[in-house]
Amino acid sequence: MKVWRINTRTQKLVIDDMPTSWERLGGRGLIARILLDEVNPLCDPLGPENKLIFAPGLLVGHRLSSCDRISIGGKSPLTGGVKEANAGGRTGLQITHLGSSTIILEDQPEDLGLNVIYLSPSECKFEDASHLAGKGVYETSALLVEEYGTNVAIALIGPAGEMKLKAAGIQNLDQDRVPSRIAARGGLGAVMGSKRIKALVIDSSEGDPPTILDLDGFRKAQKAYNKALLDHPQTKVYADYGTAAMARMCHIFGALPTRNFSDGNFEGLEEISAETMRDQLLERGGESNTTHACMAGCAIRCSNVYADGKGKGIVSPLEYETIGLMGSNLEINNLEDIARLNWEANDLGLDSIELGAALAVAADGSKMEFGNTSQALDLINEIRAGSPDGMIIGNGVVSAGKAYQIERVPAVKGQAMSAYDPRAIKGTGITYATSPQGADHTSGLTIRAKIDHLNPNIQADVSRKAQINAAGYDTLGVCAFAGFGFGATPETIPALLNARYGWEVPGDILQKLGRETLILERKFNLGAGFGKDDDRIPEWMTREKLPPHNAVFNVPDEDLDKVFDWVDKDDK
Amino acid sequence: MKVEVHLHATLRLENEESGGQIITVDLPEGSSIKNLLEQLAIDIDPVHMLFVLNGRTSGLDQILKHGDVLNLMTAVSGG
Repeated sequence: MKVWRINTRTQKLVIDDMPTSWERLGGRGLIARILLDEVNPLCDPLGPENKLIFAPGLLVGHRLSSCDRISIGGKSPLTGGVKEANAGGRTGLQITHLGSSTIILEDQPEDLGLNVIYLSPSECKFEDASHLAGKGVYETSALLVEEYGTNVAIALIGPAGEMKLKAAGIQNLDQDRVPSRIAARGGLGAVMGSKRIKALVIDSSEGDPPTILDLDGFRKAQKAYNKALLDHPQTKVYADYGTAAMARMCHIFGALPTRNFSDGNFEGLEEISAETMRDQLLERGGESNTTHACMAGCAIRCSNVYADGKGKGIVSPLEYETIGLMGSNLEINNLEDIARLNWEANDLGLDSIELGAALAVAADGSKMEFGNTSQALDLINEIRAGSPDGMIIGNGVVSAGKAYQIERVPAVKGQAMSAYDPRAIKGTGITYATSPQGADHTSGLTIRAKIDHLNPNIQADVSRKAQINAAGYDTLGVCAFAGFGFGATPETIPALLNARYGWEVPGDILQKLGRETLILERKFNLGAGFGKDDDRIPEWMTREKLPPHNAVFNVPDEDLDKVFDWVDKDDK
Repeated sequence: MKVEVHLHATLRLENEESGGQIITVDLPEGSSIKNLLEQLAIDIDPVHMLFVLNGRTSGLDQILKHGDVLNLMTAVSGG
């Protein structure tokens, strides 16, 4: 198992053996371990001490359905703490086929040039990318595919990353070479921009998949897992409706962010629902696609291609979080408008959650009218132009709140909440409050739990369990939706790991990895200066009532503090 | 008694092509959500479903009353 270290100042690659303490980690867990071992938690996230880590999860590399995700991490310029963001697409798979377990971009150049890093199993070269400076993600990726061929994987940034905006993410090509698989959250695109890297191009065509020590054992576990995944009714929901099916569900619970988190119900719900989207796409045909795989071999196929009335594709995918944050949260009740906003966010290389949240705060501050798509587009164009308003919004929701003097800022640890209002889904609120990642839709959602989401006193255990599982899956490189298959066949997780690596891991390895990851992340954040006060939902949400349930966030502080009390115990 | 039932995403009545209907169901007094599911003959294991009665999470044995609004969905998450 090898670590590929690339120094962005000297432009040299050094390949080392994995330290023993890193070997049984991948993805999110490995990122936390590396940050803790090698990055000063008090460093400037955009300075030379920070590292940008690409870490495929432990099960990545074999086209196992929904298990080839790439985790990207570093110290977050948005939160100031630990950050992992993950994405589908090709990047994870191809890194493993290079023969690398993780790629670490270190240091930063003194000059302001821009580079592309090309990696193959036998080569690492830096190439001048000044011709790509300022170019959008779509144009850049098309030029890079033209130059390097159709088989490469690419992780790249847009103008937002080059401008080091804190809402900038890192995009990855999907299996159709569309660059929309974004490791969105926490400003990692700005870290890549600070190292003056426009794109990482990975060509593993001469590489090999990682060795599986017990192929029969692996195939047997794979078969059981695949069957469970395909048999699960949720898989069909994702295939037919995608994550957008969440819009109605969240509305029903009174938790759909509407007009900057001032309402939990949206009068335009039907127009932005998955049911409407499906009807539109089936009717429009052309490039429309209701079901699409972001990774080769995925059996769930939750992705889609959203096309206009003439069947011309606008964006792929159009997902729930974007529909929530750039739709109802901006009072925009038209999927086509949301798709166009989503395209702009993608092209700039911005997290659509952070951007949607920041635009809604800007609307509260009278910089645009709610429901006005063209004004939202104008503000996004301000980002492209690098104007002061553009910088304010492109640096995220907290930046927008400060500049426009708005108290109603939906964020924890500096990061915008995803599309579940924590006053109505209180377990998810606990996750937002206490996750080392900040308010994050990948850190442990609780909406699927069969509990009363409005009862503040029964949520802490649910959130803790969800957070541990999410951290475990993100360490394995497993898509959250594959959890339906693994949930029905939990024995396949240790079986796959044991077959691949020759280990003898325990039956609860998923939770063990999750707990280990969270312990490491909490430790890094402690070093970065985080404390109990940072594990809180913004105060205004404890006062301002959310219709229709008139709910406030009233989970006791003691419950928030007990979510991770076992970490401190484990640590002693 | 009459209960308004909202069906979401893949949940649909037999012989219907599109999901997401709203229907009114006539039930005997004292019927539970379980009774309603039997009457509708929905072909999904209730274990994978969420029942939201008048905006709150509910259970299979919950007794319904006239005018209730019940949302039936298979639970998804994320995006």
